[in-house]
Amino acid sequence: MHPKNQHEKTILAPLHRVTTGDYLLWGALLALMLTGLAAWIWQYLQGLGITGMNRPVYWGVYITNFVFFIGLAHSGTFISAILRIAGQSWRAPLTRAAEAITLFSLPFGAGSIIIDMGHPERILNLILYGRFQSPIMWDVTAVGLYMLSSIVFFYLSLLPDIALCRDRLTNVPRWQQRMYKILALGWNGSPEQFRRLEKVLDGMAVFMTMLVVTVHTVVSWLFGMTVQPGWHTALIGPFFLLGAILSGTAAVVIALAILRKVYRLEKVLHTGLFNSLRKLLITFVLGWLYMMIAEHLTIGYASMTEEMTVLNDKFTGTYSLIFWSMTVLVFVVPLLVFIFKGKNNIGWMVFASVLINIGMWMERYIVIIPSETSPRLFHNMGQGSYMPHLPEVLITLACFAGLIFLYALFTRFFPIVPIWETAEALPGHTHTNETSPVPQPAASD
Amino acid sequence: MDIGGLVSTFFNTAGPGGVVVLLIFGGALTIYYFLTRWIIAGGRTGSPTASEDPSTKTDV
Repeated sequence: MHPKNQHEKTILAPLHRVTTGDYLLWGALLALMLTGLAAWIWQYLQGLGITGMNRPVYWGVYITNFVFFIGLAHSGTFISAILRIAGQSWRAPLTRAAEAITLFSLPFGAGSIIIDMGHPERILNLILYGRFQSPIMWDVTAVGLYMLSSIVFFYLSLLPDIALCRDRLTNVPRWQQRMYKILALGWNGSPEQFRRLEKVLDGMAVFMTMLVVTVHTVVSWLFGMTVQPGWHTALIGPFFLLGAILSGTAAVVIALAILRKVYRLEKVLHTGLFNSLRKLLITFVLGWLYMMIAEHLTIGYASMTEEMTVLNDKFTGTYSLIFWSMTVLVFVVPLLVFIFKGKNNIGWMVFASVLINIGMWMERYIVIIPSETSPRLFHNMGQGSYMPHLPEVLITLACFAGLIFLYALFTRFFPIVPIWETAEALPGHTHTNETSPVPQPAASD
Repeated sequence: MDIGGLVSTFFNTAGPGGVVVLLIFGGALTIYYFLTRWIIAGGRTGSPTASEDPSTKTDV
């Protein structure tokens, strides 16, 4: 027994065959990933000395990637869990595309920490000798639990659709049919199963919301619990969290636009959804600006010597180009685009969202590096400098390639729009799901 | 019993942190496992399975 959905054929269409374009894309991404793997082996054998990291810049691009990927991972939880609790039914067609970003970016976030350690086996020291005094232990706990919970949340909401694939897709290769059969866990779509599933997802949504706030706050505390200038501020938690939700939501816009175009999902992922995301993004961009001003005004007003060194480095010194570019990319251009060009225009929305994500990566970089080059214990450690070296660049590219690869692979074998959540009616339910708002005419796609 | 001392020892000693992490992961895994089983068990209420119901067997 499966839910009735008028768009079922459209959503399942990409799952029927893998095209030459797919193989080419996967091949290119795999090549990038292998290059990154080779760079990592090189780093493993030679040590972290071959990277741009040095004394006193102990954290470089890897930790920037860590914060950025964990931030991207907030998209799924925001769209699925927070908007679910808020009763925003329009979010239903977006949920899986957003959750998939969460699921596939988390391993690269957590993996960046392991890469940064130089020797991955050192992670065992956290289990063998871990003391809860250390924010790194809080981080491992929060990120690990978030990853586990995200996998379960994602899998449970995918379950009815895997069963639907098992029963509908009878002309796909045998291994694919077998995969659906195993993963469906014997789901038969009874009203009771749907009732229980909804109950569990509702409960998990509350838990995931708490977790998502905890995770990025704890990530920020890795910095905030030190007494380094630029990091030691109570604002760093909410600032990181808001930035994460901003970049995550922008990433959802990019992913949705590509899926819509490539898999011809115009009727399902209609312009109205993008308009809703546009309103959210305007709010987040303004919220981010508020945090930026609050953060820098407080520091600048106090004019403490160590803090001012870092602040001046950002505003007018070595990192001013990155800082002001970041401000333009995250705030100025996107806000203008969202207000004046973005309405009913997906192309402009994607343009602004790409800028936001480039800017947010730069923001993570600008938070981390200037504080390290001018540490509080300057008299002991001296002035630092940092420029990423080849292994860091290759590994970073490999991480992004890996995220896109996993995402592209997933969309070829599983429905990227939740069929049961966007169905007109669920088995045994008397109500009708109002999950798909009336499409608005698109000015241009 | 010196509760303060116990808390201090927990935070300052190498080892207990790792145990806590393992307990949290283990606990979460157990809860998620039983939740999944409970959901799937909802299908054993007598309704026909999709594979038994010929009307659902279609190739799109």
